[in-house]
Amino acid sequence: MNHLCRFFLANVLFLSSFNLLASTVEDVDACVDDDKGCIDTRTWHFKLSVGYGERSNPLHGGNSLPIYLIPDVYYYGDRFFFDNGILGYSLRQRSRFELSAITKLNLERAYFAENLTGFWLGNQAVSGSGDIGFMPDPGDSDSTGGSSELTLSIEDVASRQWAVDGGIQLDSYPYENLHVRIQVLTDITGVHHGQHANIRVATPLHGRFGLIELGAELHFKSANLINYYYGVGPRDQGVPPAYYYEGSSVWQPGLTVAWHYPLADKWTWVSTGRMQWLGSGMSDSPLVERRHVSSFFTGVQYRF
Amino acid sequence: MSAKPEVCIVERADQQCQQMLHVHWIAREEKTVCLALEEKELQCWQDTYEGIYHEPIEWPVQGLLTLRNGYGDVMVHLEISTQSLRPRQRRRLGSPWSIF
Repeated sequence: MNHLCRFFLANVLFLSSFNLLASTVEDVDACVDDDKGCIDTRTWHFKLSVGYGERSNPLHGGNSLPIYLIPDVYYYGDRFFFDNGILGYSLRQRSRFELSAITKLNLERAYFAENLTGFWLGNQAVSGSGDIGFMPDPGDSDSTGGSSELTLSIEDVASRQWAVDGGIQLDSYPYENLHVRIQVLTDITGVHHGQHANIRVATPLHGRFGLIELGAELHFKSANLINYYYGVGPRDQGVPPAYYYEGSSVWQPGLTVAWHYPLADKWTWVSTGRMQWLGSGMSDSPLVERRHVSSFFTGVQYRF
Repeated sequence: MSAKPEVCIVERADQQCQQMLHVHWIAREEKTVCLALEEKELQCWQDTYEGIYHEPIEWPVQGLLTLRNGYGDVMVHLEISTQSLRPRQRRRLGSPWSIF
């Protein structure tokens, strides 16, 4: 872990500790007056969105992921919660912050999947084994072997595995209509041996137009994580050493916008978009074709 | 020992219940006993066959009502609780669009 990573994690932990200490005298339930954003506990919530969307794929040979259905499934007990793949246990609950231990699927592997089925179910067949028939396109490299000209398709390299990350999540509500979320995660499955931290600031705006949520986020991904997914080396059998690449840690900023407009009792119009910039430690990889990832979805949502 | 009621009903889970608790106990022989809710002593009786407690209390979400002898041993216990008509609410921590 480099110095920048340690600096970031230390600041995150300091901020967490400060929030915890500052709130020890406050123990008020945050949801007393049917606040927006509050949900019933001990109840399974299930929503299904139908429409069309895409998540661009920044990798050579990777197709954009079409999205037709988005399930939204969550259950919250008094402390335990499951929310769209995040499994968590709230360690401290206060009116202005909540500290939780969480585990979640690392979605980096999704770029190596070919379609929605692969995206959801982790279809291993969509990535090549990398040990047969590798023949780099001569046009992909110049005579000097400059790394910036070398490109590889995901079909040319060994399969990358799904990983599960675990760590802490701090949700803070310093002002009304402002939600700050910090996650500090590490690989708990021994796949990429890396760390991931992110901070997200979101503000929901309610009005006659429905609900619009604007968000900004900054992700830090450690060198081990980036190198496992986007590095190229001897594990990728058949790939010439000229294509080898060692990934380095990255900072990835992103912007999100979501719009919910109620149509009827159980029906809501939903639109969402996200743009994320990848950072040179990842985008310099011969596997990576684009420097950003964009996602959008629009459709209707039904609440069961 | 009997307690009435054993459950206090509130509208919402975050509401505190304050209600009369009526406890009646009878013993076959004279006893010196104390009634307690968890660790809080409510009332003691000396050398008697029967006792009645009838006072308003702050109802616990879940609490053990115990009758202890002079040595502090639990002779009998009952559980009382607060239940709500609506489930407790809490903030949602995940994002509907986390798959992105």
